[in-house]
Amino acid sequence: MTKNFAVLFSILLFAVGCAEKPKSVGNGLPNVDGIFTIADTVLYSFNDTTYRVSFSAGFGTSNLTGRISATEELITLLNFIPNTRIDSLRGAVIDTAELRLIVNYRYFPQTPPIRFDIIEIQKSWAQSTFTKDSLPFLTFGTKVLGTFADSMNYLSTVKALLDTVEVRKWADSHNDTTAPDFFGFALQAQPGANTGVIGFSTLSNYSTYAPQLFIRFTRNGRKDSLTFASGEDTYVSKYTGPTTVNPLMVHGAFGVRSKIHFNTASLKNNPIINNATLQLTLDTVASSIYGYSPDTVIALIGMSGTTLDQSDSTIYTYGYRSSVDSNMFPVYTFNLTKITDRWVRYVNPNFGLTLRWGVEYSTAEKAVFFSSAAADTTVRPRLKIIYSKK
Amino acid sequence: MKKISVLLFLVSFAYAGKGSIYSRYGVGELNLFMSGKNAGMGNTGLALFGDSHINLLNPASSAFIPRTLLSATYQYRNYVSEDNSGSSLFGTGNISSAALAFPVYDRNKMVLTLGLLPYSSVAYEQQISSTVAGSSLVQSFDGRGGINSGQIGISYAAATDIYVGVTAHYLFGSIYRDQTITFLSGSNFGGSFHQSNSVSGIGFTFGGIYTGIDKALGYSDTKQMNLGVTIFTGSSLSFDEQLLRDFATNQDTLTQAKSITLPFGFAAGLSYTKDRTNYAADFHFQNWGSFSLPGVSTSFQNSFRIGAGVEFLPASDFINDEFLKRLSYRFGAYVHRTNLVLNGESINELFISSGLSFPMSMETRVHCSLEYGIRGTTSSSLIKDSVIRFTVAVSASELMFIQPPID
Repeated sequence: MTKNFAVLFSILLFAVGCAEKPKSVGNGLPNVDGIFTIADTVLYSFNDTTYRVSFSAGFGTSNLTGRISATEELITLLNFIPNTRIDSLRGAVIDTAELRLIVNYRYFPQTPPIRFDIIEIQKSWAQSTFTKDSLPFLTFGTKVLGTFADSMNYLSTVKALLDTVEVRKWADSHNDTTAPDFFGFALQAQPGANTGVIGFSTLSNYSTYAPQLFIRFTRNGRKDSLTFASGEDTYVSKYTGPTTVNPLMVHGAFGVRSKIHFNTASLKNNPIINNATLQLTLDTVASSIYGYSPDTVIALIGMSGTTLDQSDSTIYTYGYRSSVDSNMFPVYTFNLTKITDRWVRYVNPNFGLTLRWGVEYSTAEKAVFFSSAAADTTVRPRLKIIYSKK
Repeated sequence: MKKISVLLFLVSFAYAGKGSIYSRYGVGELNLFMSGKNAGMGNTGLALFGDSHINLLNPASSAFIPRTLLSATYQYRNYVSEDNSGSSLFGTGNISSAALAFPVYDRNKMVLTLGLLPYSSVAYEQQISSTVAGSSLVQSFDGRGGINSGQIGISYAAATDIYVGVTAHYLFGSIYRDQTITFLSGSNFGGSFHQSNSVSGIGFTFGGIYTGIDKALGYSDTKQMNLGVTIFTGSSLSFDEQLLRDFATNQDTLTQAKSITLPFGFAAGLSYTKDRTNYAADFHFQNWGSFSLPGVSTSFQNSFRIGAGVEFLPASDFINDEFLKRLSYRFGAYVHRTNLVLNGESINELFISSGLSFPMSMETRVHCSLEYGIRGTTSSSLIKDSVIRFTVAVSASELMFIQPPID
């Protein structure tokens, strides 16, 4: 009896498994509980604002130096801090001292040789607190301690001899607490020269790429050398142009960002945002993009209707130069699906998008986009949305 | 007790599979099945008493169950659904019901019946493919669950030749409907709505059987013809809806408390027994025309079902007789105007059935039935289901709850 039941039950369980997934039949049946209908729309931005922010450039990958125009300049600050006292240099004669840097970024470099002067920083500064706008808090010596003059090719090591008297001053400041302080070296374009911008690998990078202070010295009749590759570095910007900028623009190194707004209120009744693509058309004439890769812009979800530069750094999307439009202008395309979904579902209020250059701290690219005020409506910022609703 | 536990365990497998796309509408596909024996006779038997099986069609029909009966049923269903674009084959099976009946007061034919069986089942999968704005997409509709009836009934001999009964149904269950949109291109997000409706409520079925109607009318000297009737009171069910909407970045949930009313219905049947042969014919009506489902625009119609069946009883009841003499055979058919009207067409069913019962041991019988039927039509953009239902019901008898005589 038990055996019979066991056999029967096994057959039943087998039969339960004999099911095939149905194919697409019944398409003509009424969808009484609703069917998703798909629609698309294009929203154009209604308000764009460009503004400047301050940021700390320390701990980045590049120290930027150079002058782009009479109103835009970048100055690198570099302070070698030995890990211990430099006993080897006590009573030693410094024969030569050399500052060695590795080029890791170029932005419209001018005809070589590109010249950067090295001067003394005469006020205390700290990598962690100095922003790109902290230049007014510094004073510099007038004496040129050394000069780079190089073609500044990518990944090349460039060298400049330093004034040994100043290097002795630097060494003494680390060996003797009663000696005058030495606050480091500054690199800047020579007066009046537009050099473009050169980026040098920072002390935060691997030691083989980090800036080096190389010293040859003679002590007790014996020649020797030392290399220093630790300390603090950053860069500051010097901008003397107008404080407001009209175009829809992002500019690395100078902290120029934009805020852009779309009105998504027309997407009612909780649609499912299947796809939302933001397209920004690049004004190639006004832009200055030397060819740095990745060529990207970041769009972050705005978090305030009153404070311009308030965004959620965890909710963002990258825009890539993906195609050209009918006027042959390059178009940056952003996948804005998730951000738009948050807007229409009120997960986040729609305070617009903050745009900034993708590698904002370590590059100086300037991307200018046609704004909502562009006469040609086809090049205005646009949000193409595919959505479905029941 | 051990057997009851096993039965409850088996019932938990119920409704696991897929079924007709028509179950997408209303409260799903209504369960007509009431016992393995009835299924072989075109689901008729309102006026037939159960003795070796539990006839859940009519609460009065348990009156002549002499000892404790346990019954469990497995049903396998195979569907070929076709429309003008093609066809689809799918099948599924599950333990579809369990019941227990035992006499509590033999003098008045009071037999208590407990049962757990589906009232309706929702089990469908459907996909619609399309291309919108250059994007290929698939919309999937998936439904499962249903309404179950946990019921308790009792029969009673009200007077000579008149037997009555009542069944209280606790109707409960959940119906889940998922709708998903999936883009076949990778860059588009899909989404889905997951709707779950929890229902619960109480309803009653009153039944009666009048035996010997032929004798009362003067057509016969013996009582060979029964008249059975049942009335279902309908039931107001709480209908709590929860809608989980799954979007690209987040989910939200909407909940609403609603109610639905399962409509009133009645049924009447005749049975006639002669020369170890049972003849039965039933008529069922339910007032679905008054039914509506909150937020759904399906129109419903009153349902009718007319069925007839015949059963050839075993030639012998002696367990020592050869096996073939102890078999009973059944045949039947029914036509059913279901409660659905889609695209202006009434969805109708026509089923034929056959059945066979055989003893497995002295107290255990197995009732098998095989039904074949057609539901719907391919006209008016509808689908036609060709359905095969194979049912195995096991009835086991025990001397539970009966005090053994003292020697």
